[in-house]
Amino acid sequence: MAIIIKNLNYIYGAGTVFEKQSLKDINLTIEDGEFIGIIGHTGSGKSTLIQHLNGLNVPASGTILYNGEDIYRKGYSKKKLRSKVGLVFQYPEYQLFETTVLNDVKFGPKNIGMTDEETDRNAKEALKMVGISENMYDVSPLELSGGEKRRVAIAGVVAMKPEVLVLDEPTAGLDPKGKNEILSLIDKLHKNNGVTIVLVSHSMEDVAKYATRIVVMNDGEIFACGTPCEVFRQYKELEKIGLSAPQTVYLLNELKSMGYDVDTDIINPDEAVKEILIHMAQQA
Amino acid sequence: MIKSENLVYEYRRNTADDTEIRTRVLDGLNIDIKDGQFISIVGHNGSGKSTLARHLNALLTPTGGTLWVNGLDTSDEDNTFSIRQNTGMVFQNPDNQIVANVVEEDVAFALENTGVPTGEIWRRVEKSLATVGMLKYRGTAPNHLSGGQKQRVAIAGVLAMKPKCIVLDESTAMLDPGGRKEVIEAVRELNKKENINIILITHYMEETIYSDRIFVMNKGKIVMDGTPEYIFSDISILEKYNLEAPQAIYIADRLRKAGLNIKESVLSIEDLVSVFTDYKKGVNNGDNNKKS
Repeated sequence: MAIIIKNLNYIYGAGTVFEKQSLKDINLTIEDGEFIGIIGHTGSGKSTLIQHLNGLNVPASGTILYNGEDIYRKGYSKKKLRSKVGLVFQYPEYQLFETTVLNDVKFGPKNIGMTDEETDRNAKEALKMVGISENMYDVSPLELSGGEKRRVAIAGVVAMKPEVLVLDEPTAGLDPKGKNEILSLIDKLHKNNGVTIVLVSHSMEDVAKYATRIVVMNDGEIFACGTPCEVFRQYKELEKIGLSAPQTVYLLNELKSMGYDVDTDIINPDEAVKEILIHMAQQA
Repeated sequence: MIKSENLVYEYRRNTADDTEIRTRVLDGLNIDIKDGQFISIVGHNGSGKSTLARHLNALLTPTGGTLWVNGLDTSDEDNTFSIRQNTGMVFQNPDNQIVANVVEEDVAFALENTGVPTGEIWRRVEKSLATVGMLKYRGTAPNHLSGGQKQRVAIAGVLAMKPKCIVLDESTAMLDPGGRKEVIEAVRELNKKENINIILITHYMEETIYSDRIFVMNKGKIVMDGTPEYIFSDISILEKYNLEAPQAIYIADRLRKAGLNIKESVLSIEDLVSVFTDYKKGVNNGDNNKKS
């Protein structure tokens, strides 16, 4: 019961002409070890929601419990919370600021009070994990490629050893290779290190592939929530709110409506190929 | 018309001890794009896509070789103004390219700058917004629009200049699926109805299937150039360049390799579905569907 979000309401620009309720009565429990994918059209409240998870945003009403403790309670240590719930913003590479790669990654762990020894060990471990080799430790972050910068930025959060890692569109603007590197890194943190993952993404294919549960946001509300196959079963409703399903889902549903008796819950292209081949063999 | 001969671009910078370091980003490109063509450019990060795009409206000029846009040499500064009027750019982040507080003022911005008479400005703004389906938002503040709508406003701003060519540099990268679809539909319309050259730079391979030609860039060179059918006919080559095919094409490829008779021209789910419709008919007629 890592994170419990209770009746959360957030009002943007309260008291100004721009006042807008961007989160409406959100209730969601994120269990330890889950891999949550959050999808939704631009402006649906995804980023606003995840910025509550480490207490950056303060709700108008409602609250969040982290390991049973109210994070908005007076006296609750936000600093400690932020060392447990790591947040990787959109385009995190713009936040690199130190003179060298290693120093940049060390900043977070040092800041939350880890010893020099721990800081050094965790920073190097994190860099190794994201595939940045030792000969790049002393390079200026500005000299790295886009994909490398982003991996260094993620390492900076990973080095704090968070229990929950929240990432806001970590693969936007990356080529397929860079994208796959980041996603398999996140998957590794989830599977091998038991880190709870919350991933915001505009790629339906990516959340279908990695998430154990998908939360669909629409106009500040949770529109749907379930396993990838449960969520993409509603592909027609998803389209109405500016989303879509992976192409595989469309194919299998079309085939089904044509009278082919295929399993429409399949969302993985390789499994779809198998399913179609089995079906064609039976027909022949 | 866009044409280049041995186009080279090198970044130069001096180290502390004053030695010059050169990085070659574009390495001897020979391109020939005819009027009205829809070109997609794909390639890994750092392959030179955006650098090439910035050459097309003379934001950058070649450090070697020559590039002509509408017959004008981009290296000649006297041509810069005319080239920029004819080639519009739409960038990745919608929030970085909107300057006004009201949609129609944003679309009019470039026209006012270039001294177009007021009556003509209104006519063009109205027409451009109507073309991208944003006329009813003419009085709206851009910050109330979705990402896809903002990008369509940016396209309208370019369109109002009556360009021959629109370059979209990863203009769909930050959008949700619905927004991506809106933008791609808008540029396809412009290409078909107004015969405007479209240069679409993207990492979303499924957006490229509508283009006349796809350029695959790798390390500053164009390593593949052809129709979508040609480019996607062997997805193992694409993988070598760190790219991946859309799921529909991937599935078609796998089924074909497993022995199903699926024609090479399958690019989308619709294409794939029509193959199975034919199959169904074939089965009913008792045909043999397997490859002999």
